[in-house]
Amino acid sequence: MNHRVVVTGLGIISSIGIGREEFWRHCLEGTSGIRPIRGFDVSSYRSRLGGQLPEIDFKVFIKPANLRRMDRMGKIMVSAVRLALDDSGLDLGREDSNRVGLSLGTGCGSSDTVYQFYRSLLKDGPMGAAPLLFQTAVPNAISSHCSIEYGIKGVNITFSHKETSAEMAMAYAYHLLKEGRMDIVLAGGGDELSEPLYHVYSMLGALSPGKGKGSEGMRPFDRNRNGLVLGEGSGILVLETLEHAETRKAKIYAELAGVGMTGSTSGVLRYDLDGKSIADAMSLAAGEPALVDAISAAANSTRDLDRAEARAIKKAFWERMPEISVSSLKSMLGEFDGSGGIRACALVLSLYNGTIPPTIGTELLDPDCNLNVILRQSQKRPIRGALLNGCSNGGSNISLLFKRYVPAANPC
Amino acid sequence: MRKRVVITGLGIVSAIGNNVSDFWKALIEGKDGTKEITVFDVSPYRTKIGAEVSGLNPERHFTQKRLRRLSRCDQFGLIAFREAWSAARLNRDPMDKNRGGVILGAGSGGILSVERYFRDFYQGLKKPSPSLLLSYSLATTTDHIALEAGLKGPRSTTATVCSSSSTSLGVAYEMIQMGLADVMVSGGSDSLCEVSFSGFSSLKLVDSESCKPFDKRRQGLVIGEGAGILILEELEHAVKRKAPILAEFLGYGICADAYHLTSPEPNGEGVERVIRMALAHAGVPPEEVDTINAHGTATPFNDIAETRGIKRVFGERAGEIPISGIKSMVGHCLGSAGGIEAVATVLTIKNGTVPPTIHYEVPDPLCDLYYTPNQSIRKNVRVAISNSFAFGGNNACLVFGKYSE
Repeated sequence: MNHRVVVTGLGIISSIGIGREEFWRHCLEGTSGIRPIRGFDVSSYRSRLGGQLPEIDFKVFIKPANLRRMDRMGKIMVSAVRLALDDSGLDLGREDSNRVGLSLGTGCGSSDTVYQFYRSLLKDGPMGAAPLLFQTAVPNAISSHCSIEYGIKGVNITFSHKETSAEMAMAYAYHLLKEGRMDIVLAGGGDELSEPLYHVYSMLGALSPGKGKGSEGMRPFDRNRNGLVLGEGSGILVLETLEHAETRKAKIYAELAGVGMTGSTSGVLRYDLDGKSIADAMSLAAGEPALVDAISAAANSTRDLDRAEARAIKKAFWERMPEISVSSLKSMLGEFDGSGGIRACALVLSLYNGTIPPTIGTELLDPDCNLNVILRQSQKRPIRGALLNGCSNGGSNISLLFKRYVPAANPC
Repeated sequence: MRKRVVITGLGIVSAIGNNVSDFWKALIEGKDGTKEITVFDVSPYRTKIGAEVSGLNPERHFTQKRLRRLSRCDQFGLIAFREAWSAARLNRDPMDKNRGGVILGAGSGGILSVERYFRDFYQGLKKPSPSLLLSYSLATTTDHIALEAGLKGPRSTTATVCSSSSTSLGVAYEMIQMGLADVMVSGGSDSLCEVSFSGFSSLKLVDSESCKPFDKRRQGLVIGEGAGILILEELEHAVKRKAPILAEFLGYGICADAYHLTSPEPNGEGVERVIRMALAHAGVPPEEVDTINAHGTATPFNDIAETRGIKRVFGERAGEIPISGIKSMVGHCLGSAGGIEAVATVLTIKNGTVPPTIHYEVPDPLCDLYYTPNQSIRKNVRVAISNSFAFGGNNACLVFGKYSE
């Protein structure tokens, strides 16, 4: 009853590319998606950068009649699902819709809609409460939009747990497929960068250079990092049982082969300070650590997380540490809660193509983060297995093991 | 081989009782928790009622310093968690903290605090306190509970709103199946806030008098608040430490209507699918289901769709199964509704009493099942299901059974 789970489609809406090809090219070139914030006034803040999406013509992805019912967050998610479905070659009309599911993660969902709704409520009282805004403001609106748009009737769930939201969505999807309870699950997540969210992060002192010295920017593992830059986007993976993928002769990018989940108890806004919990999550996911050649790090240019993750990688892999290529895609995208989906897409492409994108912005490694961080240029190397790390402040740590897909040996 | 999962502790905060024994007593007496809302200013609203939690005295539970950093949602969650944790005797029995985790469901989370912050911010009358923003994330209550218990196993939060704490129970069950934990804290917490109150009002889904599920006069829901926390435990772990076993968690289903952003699929097709999915997962034939804890929001459309879905699954027997709509008493607690109703369902099995649907007077020909009107009934319950449906057709169904070796 244990099914193998494979990745057969990728859908990406990111600041460095829409769709797999453009995104991957920019990953390898080390293109930064981070620029001065557009669309709202940041002059009263000490920070002013963000990894915002380019203007997107959502009509390309979504039926016009449905587009009217969606807010921006909904459009971002539904478009990423469209791209993933197209990439996978799936024809949902030929599938049993009860065995196709959606498992998504978002940290703050339609935060912009929530605050538009609340502002008009404050301004105009109960008459200002707009029903159309309210129905798209709920966090699960994203998976509802997707299920309605594509007629997906199987499992339908939205997770919201800070920076591990999308990792959790993929972990749950993996389990359902492994048990054979679904044939296909579209899994991943996303978030949008909104003015209220920017305000909250700024007030909580998380943004670079809200605190600390030096210029603003993402510099994971760098000695001179000084906080994070917010980003946005969405990444969706088509996860499928191997049997189902083989039957329809699908292109297989990689295999999802393990999940580790742990919690640390350092504090409500603290990451796992000693790295033990992150190390345990990686060990649980990896099973056989000798297989792991690369890690997509959760490191987000904050001192606490960068150091905790570096300690964790040391603990989990010890003498193999120098052989393991570590890279943080957040260096190009910025940090956002539902980033796990896009980061997973990149990791799957790394396995498929044998290339690891660089960590950009980082120049001088923090001596406490002396890992084999791939800097400046992408690295060609064969990768057998790779871990995607997700670590949230407050202490949820999730690792997913992706492996290069190798068909089972033919018994003849 | 699937592991068996049992419930070994319950905790609750609700408008009709702030601990399990008060809650159960009120539930079988048919007490209505509806009152005028005090946590925010309801004077501009036509509808002023909600099932607000009262008499909790958070100062008795937390230090002043800690209270400043806890949202109302965090407080409910922590208080209900403490009750469940000690009822399961996990405060005394040694356990491997690496093998315990927390998965809660969230609705509006700490938005009540964030609303206060942005009210001050936009109105510019006074400088808002950034500590009100600490609970901006729906994950905050989950983290508080895990930190207090020192649990180092899996941790996450589901956000399917009206079905959140039912989906969270399903996901928590899987953490045990995946071998990642022996003990899981699950369920949910939610507090009243102006955004959801005005949002449901704007959709014309609220009743200004009382919540009357399945009654012809029903006009919608009464928003509620509270927390319902359950301790899920792998059977052998529970037996080994001689824990009190209240019921067995047999399985669950989660699926989508794929129909509309706010309306349920009218023929009950989505309801049918989720109940069938849950029973199949639990390995229970429909004949063994002895009671149903309904979603029963008392919105005109939900109650018809739910009734139709139940008939589609149970056929002629549907009319014999007592159905409870406890939202008539505790209100619709959104992110904690599924948790509170799961607590009620476990107690129904344990105590052999089915709680009533109150305010039931005028039958609706489109809702023609047996809703346990106004009076609880005694009944030996082998298997009970609890339904939760959310906006966007996010359906969940949980299956609990009497525990036997």
